[in-house]
Amino acid sequence: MPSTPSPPPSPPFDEERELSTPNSDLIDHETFDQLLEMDDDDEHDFSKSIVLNYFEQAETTFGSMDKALEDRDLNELSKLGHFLKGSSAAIGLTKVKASCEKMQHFGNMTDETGKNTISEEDALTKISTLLEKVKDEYKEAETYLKNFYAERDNS
Amino acid sequence: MSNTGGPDFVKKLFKMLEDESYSDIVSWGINGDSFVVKEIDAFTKTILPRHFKHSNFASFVRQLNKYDFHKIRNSDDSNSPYGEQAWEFHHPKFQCDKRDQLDNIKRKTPANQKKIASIAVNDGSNMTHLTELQSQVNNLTKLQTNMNEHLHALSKNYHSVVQDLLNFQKNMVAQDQLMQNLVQYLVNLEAEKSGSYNGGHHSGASGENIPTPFIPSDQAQKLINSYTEVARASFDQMNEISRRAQSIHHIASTCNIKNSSTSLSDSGSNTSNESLEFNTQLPLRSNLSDNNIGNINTSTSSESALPKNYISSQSISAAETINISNGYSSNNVSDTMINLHPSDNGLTVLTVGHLTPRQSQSSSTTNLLPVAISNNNSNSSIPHIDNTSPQRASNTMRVHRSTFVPAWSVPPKVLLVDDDAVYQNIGSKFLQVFGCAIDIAVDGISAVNKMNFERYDLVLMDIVLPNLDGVEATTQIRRFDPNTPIISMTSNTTTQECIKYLSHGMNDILAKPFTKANLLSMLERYCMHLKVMPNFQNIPRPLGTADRPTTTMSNNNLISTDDNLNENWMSNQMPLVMSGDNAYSSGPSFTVMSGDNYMQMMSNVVNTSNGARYLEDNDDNQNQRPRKKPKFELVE
Repeated sequence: MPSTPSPPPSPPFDEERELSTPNSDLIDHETFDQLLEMDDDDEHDFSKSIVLNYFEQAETTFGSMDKALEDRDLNELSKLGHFLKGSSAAIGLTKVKASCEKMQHFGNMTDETGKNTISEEDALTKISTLLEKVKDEYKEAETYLKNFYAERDNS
Repeated sequence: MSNTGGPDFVKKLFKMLEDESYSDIVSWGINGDSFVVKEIDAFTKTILPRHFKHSNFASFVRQLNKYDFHKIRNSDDSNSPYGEQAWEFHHPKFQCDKRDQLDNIKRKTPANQKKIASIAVNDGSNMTHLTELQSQVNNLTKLQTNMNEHLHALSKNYHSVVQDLLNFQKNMVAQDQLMQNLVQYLVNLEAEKSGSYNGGHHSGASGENIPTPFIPSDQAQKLINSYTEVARASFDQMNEISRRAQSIHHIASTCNIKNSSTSLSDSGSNTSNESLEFNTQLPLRSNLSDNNIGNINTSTSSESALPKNYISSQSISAAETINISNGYSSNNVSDTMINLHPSDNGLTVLTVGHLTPRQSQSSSTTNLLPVAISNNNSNSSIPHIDNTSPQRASNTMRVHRSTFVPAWSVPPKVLLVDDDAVYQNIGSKFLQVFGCAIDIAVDGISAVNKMNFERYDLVLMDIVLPNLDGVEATTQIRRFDPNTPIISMTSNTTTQECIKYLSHGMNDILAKPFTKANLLSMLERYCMHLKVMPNFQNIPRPLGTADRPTTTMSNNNLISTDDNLNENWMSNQMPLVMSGDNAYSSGPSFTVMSGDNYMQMMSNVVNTSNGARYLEDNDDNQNQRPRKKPKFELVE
């Protein structure tokens, strides 16, 4: 907390307006705004800590996913997919969440609807493609969020 | 033998009598219409065996009886012609010369016939009885069916009533929320308006400057809002304090001495009144302590009205109150006043000032606002109180931060079970804002353990967990704790899964990712019993004089405040209402309540209810402000 009140960066309602225009499929703003609402002030301490926490967790999870894929451990992949799906959903990272859900299904040897069975080989192939895609989506989200907070900090 | 019919026994008897050789022993009677057994012994020994193949006189007599022979008794006065020992038997149709009548001698049956007849009669009555019973049974069955139908209808009605009640409840919650939002909106509107009038320095009351038709209701809304603020601020500060409690030992220790009246202070003065110890700290401002003899003045950094009122009402009720002045705050610009009120259920935090953010240190000197505070023993004008950058305050307000803290009588203790750090943080944050005490378990096993050692009001249980999943953990918990509500937090909300959760003892399902509103509705549903029941009747109503620039209370007991305070309050409270944590972390200082309007309300309450124990009546009239039982064990 600075010792002097920082001049208000913008009129009060603007920050959400700014947010909601771009990347609307990348981020579910309703969810993310809910986090921002919990912030105490313009520092975004709370939401930032959540997001950073998520980054950390996501990267660890990606590491585990790589390893599980190497080990051809579909069960583990499904679990990891579920796990990352949860935290992504909490932040509102729609794309990442959707892909993680797919991974969860593939890990259970079903197609992305979760209804039809697929072969183990099929599942592993799909997951390895998917994993790269999720990572890209995650990178996109990460960049966006980092920019978002950088902008806040600078203003 | 004979050529006539008749029963064998009678024929044998007749034949026996025909035999003249027995005449000394047995023979026809004198008149020939009876026969006489003269020598029973001889008869029994010789004749019976010969004719009847037995030697039992008694059975012979019985046989005779059966055929309706009667023994002729000898009257005492006339001697029997056959001797004392003789037995004379008679049957109207058994006569010496009327052999043909033997046919008519029949074995006696009347008794049997009677029996049979009576049986027949019985059968008849049984039959009627039976039909009667049958019809009774039928009636009963019918009645039973009717009853069942009736019961069915009743239970149906009951269900619909319950349903209605639930709906009603839901609507009430929705209405509450709507009201809250409305109030928020209006207050914000007001704040914006007054903000434009205020600039850096507050002048003039909103009532004066903006005479709108809203004013009276506005006052009420402010009041309501202020409850919310108090609630949140109380909680936030409790959090803050509990965090600092470790480093500030005396606070912790004070809190532990729950029922003793203790005043701890680092600075300021103590005024004891009616077992109420009071401590004022105004490190950077003029101290009002020398004047507050009879009554109590609290000056926290940006407001003073509400705390004072709380305290005065406390003094009216002569309740024991512990005021903790946060030592930490004395080093800061701000004060924190916590009144621990050992009434009813343990401790209640009645008033909480705020922890002023550091920004205020620089701005405080420039933003001092004069507030006149008077009490019945002395009138002391207290140069009041900083307002930390009101401009900023209005600028940082967020309309969307409209959640209100439910009015808990005791903060619900919630166990959050999730292995995902993101959810742990978000969940705790939300729960914290809702005024809950939070504990976290990261897997199923530790959840079960925690449930074993602690009592919680609510469990939020993730399903996919390491070691022991949420469903199994619930199963285990249910073995020793059938009651604590366990809510399944899951992204998997297919019907099948939900049924599985519920059948394993979970009470409800909170879809992930949960929203603040969903979480709140769960809390309200399952911690209803911890809520303070609102009683709107006791909400103080604003008086018509609300927009008078200055009000002097008739009883001099309360405070007349400068109108500026009103403005001050307006702009100050905004960010707080919107964001719970601003109380200690951001510029605008927390204002519990202020403004002469509130004073009036308060005085109204105090006056009309004759020393109304405003705080003691919290359960009734404190519809927005929770009674906090300080739980310093809050886990974050």
